[in-house]
Amino acid sequence: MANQGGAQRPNGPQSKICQFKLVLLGESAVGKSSLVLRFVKGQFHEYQESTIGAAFLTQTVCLDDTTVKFEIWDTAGQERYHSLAPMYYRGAQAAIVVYDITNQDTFGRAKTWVRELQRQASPNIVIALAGNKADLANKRMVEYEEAQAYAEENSLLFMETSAKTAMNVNDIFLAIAKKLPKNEQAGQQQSRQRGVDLSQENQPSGGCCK
Amino acid sequence: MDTEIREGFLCPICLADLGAISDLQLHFEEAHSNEDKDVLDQIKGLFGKAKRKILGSRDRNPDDPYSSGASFGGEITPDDVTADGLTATGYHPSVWDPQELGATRCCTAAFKHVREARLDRYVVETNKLVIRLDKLLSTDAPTDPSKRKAFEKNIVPWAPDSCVNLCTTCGKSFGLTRRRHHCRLCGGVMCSRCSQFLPHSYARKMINPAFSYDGDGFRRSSSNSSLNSVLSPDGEPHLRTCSECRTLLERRDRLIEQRNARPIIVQLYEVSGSFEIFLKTFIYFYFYFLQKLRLHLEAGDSLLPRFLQMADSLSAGETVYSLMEATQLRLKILKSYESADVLSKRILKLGLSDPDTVTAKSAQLQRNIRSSVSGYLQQNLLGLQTLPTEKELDELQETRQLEAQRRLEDERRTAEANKRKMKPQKIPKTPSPVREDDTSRVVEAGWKPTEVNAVSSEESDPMIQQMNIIRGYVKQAKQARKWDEVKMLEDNLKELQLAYWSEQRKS
Repeated sequence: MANQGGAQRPNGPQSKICQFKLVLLGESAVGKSSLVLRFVKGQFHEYQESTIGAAFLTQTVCLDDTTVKFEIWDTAGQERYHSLAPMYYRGAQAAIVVYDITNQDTFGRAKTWVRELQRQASPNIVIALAGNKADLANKRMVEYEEAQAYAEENSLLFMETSAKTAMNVNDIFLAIAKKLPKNEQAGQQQSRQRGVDLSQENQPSGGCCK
Repeated sequence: MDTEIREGFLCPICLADLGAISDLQLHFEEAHSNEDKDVLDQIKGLFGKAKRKILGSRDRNPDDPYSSGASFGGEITPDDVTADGLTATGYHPSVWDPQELGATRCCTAAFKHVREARLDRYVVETNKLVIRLDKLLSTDAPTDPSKRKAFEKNIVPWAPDSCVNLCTTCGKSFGLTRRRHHCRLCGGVMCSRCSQFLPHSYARKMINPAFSYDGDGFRRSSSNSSLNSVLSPDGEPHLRTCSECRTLLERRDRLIEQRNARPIIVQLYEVSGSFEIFLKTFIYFYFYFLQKLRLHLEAGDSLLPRFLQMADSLSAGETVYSLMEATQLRLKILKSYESADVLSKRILKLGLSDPDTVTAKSAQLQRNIRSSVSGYLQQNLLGLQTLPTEKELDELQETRQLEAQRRLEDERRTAEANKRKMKPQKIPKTPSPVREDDTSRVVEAGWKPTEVNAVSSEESDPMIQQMNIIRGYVKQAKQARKWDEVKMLEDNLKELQLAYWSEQRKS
C-alpha cells in the first residue's frame, strides 16, 4: 500500500507517497514515447517505433518530503487510436500535450487536445504543454512566444523539451509533480481505491452517523 | 469370522481370485450380471438402514409420517438431509457436496384442501355466532330477566340439561355446588368457573366495527357474579358465553383489527361514530389528492430542466432543438402544474363544509399544503419563460450565424497580425524555465514493459489490440513483481473491456 511504503523510506516518517495518473497526448511522431522513455529509462532511440494503442510506464520522483509516483499512459498519436484516448485522460490528474516545434500542424492539434481535455477531463487536471524536438531549433516553425502566450492564456505549464538531448524532460515532469495537489485527500483517494487500510485510525466516517 | 486377508483380483461377489483385471471384468459380467441388481438393492438397503438410524436419533415421533424425512414416502429433499446431517452427525452443511434435487412432490394442494376445511369451519362458526349476537343485542330485547331468558332461548336453542353431566370445558361433574350454565351463543353447557362474560358494548363493537369500545373485552367469571346472569360485577349488562365461542369471537376481532391497523383508521375510531363514513372518505380523498399532487409536481419537475435547456438553446439561436418540441414540452409542464394547483385547492377545501370534523391542526396542515404548492408553482412558472415565435427564432438564428462568421474573421485577422508582429524579432533560444530549489530529483527506478508483439493485427479493432497489449503488460508486470502496476493495468483492462462491450452493443 502506498502509505506503508512511505513510512519505510529513508526520508523520515513524514514522507508520503502520492500516486498520479498522467497521460501523454499529441499528434503522431511528435515524440511522446521518446519523451517518456527519456524520463523513465533515460534512453533515446533514434528510430522509435510508433506506439500501438497506449503504452504504460511508471516512474517515481522525490519532491522534498513527498514521493510522487507517476503512472504514465503514453497514448498513440495515430488517428485510428483516438477513440482510446478518453479512456486514458478520464480520471488522469495530469496530462502532457506534446507538439513538434518543427511542425505547425502539430501545434494546432495540441490546441485541440488541450480544448478536449478542458472540456472532457477532470476539471482540476494539470495540463502541461511540451514543445518537443527543441534540438531542431534551426527548423523551428512554432515560435516559443506563440506557444508561451497560448499556454499562459490557458494556464498550462509550458516548456520546450528535447528527448534527444534530455533538455527539460525531467524538469517538465517535476514541474507537474510540484503543481499537483499533494494533500491528504490525494493520497487517501488512492488508498481508498485499493481497499481500506484498517491500521489507519481516523478513517473518514461517511454518512450522517458518527 | 474369516480373518484371513486376501489379496489379488478378487470378485466382489464370489471372492474368487481371477488373476487379472480383464479376467475379473469378464467373470463379473458373465457370472454376476443377473446378481447386479440384487447387490445394488442390498447396498441400498444397508444405506437405508443407516440413514434411518441416523435420522431416528433425533427425538421424533416415528409414527408421524411428516416428522421424518426418510419415511416420508421414501423421498428425501436435500433440505431434509442437510438439516438432519447438521443435527444428527454434527457435520456442517458446508462440508457436504452440493446435491441434486431429488424427486419432489408438491403438497400445496393437499395442504390447501385441509386448510380450507378448517378455515371454512372457523368462518361459518364465527359468522353464526355474530349473527346470533346481533339478534341477542337487538333493541327490542326484553330487559326483564325471565322474559329475556326466553328470548335468548328462542334465538339459540339451549342444550338440554339432562344430556350434559360434565362441564364441557373442565370435565367436572355438575351437582349442587357446580351448577349448569348455558352459553348464550352456542347453547352449550358449562360450569360457572368456565363461563366467560361478554359485555354488551364489546359485543356491539364486534357486530359493527365503527362502534368504539375501550373496555377489556371478555371477562372471566368471578365467584360472586356466578349467580347473576345478566349483570357483571360492575353492573354492565353482559352475555354469558363458553370459552370456545370466546376464542372464535376474539379471533375474528383480532383479524379485523389487524386488517384495519392503520393509523388513519385508528384516528377514525377516536372520533365519534356518526361521522365515520364522512371521515373515511375525507381521509381517503386527502391522501389520494396528496399522492396525485406529488405525482403531478414530480412530473413537472422532471421535465422542467430539459425545457429550460431547450429554451436557452432556442433563444440563443441554436438549432439543436425544434420549436415544436419545446412548445409541447412547455404545455406538458404547464398541464401538470395546473393539475397540481387544482388538487392543492381541493385539499384546502376538504372538510371545510363541516367544521366539526376538521381539527385546527388538520386545517392548518391543509392550508400549509396549499400555500406551499402555490408558492412553488409561482416560483417555477415564472421561470417557465415564453418561447420565441417562429419569426423571432429565424431572426435569432440568423444573428447567431452572422456573429459566428464575424468572430471567425476576427480571429483570423488577429492571428495574422500576431504572426507578422512576431516574425521579425528572433527569440532568445528557449529560456530555461524557472529553476527551483534542487530538492527534487528523479529516482531512476522507472518501469517500462517491453513492446508487446501485437503489430500483426494491424487492421483489427484498436480496442482489441489495446486489450492484448495490456494483457501482455500485466504478464510482464507480474514477472517483475510490480504489484501496483499489475493492479493499475488490470483496472485499465477492465475499463477497456467495458468500453468495448458498450461499443459492441451500440453497433
